[in-house]
Amino acid sequence: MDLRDPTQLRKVYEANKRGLYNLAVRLVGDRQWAEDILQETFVRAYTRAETFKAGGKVSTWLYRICMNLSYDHLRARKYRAMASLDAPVTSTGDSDGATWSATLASSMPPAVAQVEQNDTEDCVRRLIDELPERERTVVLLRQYHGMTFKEIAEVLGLTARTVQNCLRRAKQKLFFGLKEAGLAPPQAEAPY
Amino acid sequence: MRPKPFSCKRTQKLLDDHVDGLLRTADSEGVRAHLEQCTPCDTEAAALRAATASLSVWGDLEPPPDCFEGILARIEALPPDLLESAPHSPALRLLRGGGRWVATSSVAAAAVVFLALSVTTPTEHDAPARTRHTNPVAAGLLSSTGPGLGLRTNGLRTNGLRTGEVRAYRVDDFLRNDGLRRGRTRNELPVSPASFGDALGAGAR
Ligand SMILES: [Zn+2]
Repeated sequence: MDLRDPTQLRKVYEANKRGLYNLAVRLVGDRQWAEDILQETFVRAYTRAETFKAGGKVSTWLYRICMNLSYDHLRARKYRAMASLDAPVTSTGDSDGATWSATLASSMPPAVAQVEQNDTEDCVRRLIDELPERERTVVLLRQYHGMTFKEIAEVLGLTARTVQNCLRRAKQKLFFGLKEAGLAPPQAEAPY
Repeated sequence: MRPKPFSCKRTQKLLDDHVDGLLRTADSEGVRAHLEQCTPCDTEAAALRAATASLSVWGDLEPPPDCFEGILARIEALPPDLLESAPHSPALRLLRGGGRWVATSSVAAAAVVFLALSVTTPTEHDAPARTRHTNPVAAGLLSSTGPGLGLRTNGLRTNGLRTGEVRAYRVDDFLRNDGLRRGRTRNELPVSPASFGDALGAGAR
């Protein structure tokens, strides 16, 4: 595979754009940033093609790049929020320092935001937002990208066992959060 | 014939895949048989199911249709020196105009100055040198979609960014520089702390 070949780059883009874009949206909570991250993912893939290991899966490699860029974005946003305490930055109309659920809501057209304003969704987004980075990514890759523990482990550079533990912990937290908000189904008792 | 129930330990190991419907039938039946007779495991399975179900509220989005053209524009916009020394690229880009907000903050500016002094030298893994006009993807695809897509400003695409906004992850690219983590030989950028602020100020769009 040579991503410097235009036809191949396009093919790989078409096969992965949706998954990568949605991972970025869910991680950073902003469509515009997600588009930026998606584009930068492919620019990195292009300029750092030599970091792709022969025999590996292109999608796994791209997910790793996309995930790292998303984390970078979130950390830089934190720095920015920290810095704004020190020297307030003139508002640029974005929502740095806010949770991604808030930024996602604010980046949606009003009609969409209206429709999606329901308790469960808000609660789930907030709960995922509160998960540690690694647990959040594991949940997202598993739930929305249908990856096995082994595949997630390859993206994150962890063991499959660690990934499974992460997923379990994350879901336990989700369940507790739902329960606390009165949103867990009645038949599900707290087992922990 | 009724499947033989698995042990608690085996069930726990397979429970996530069971809840997500990823188990082979034989394993799934063994887990199910165990859950029928073990309240703690069954309760845990119900909680996992509830958590999993709650995640279905979140649908997929389509990336914008012109996104790929944006990628090509970015590739086209890569300066040759950036491709020659990939690890330096975040620093160079920041200096070229990405750092307005950094300049407003003493905390972040200090971090950037420190990092600018610590960027690694190019390694054997760096992308090979290319010039803008021989860039095969950009040349091939941009020409095939017609000349003058006009997606580029100052070598950086602005589509998707609000006015005055900066791709914040560039700063953190510094922090994540492989060389910093792995302790490779450090090398100075041709920028002194004193001139760094000026460079940011001059470059900021
Ligand atoms: Zn049991």
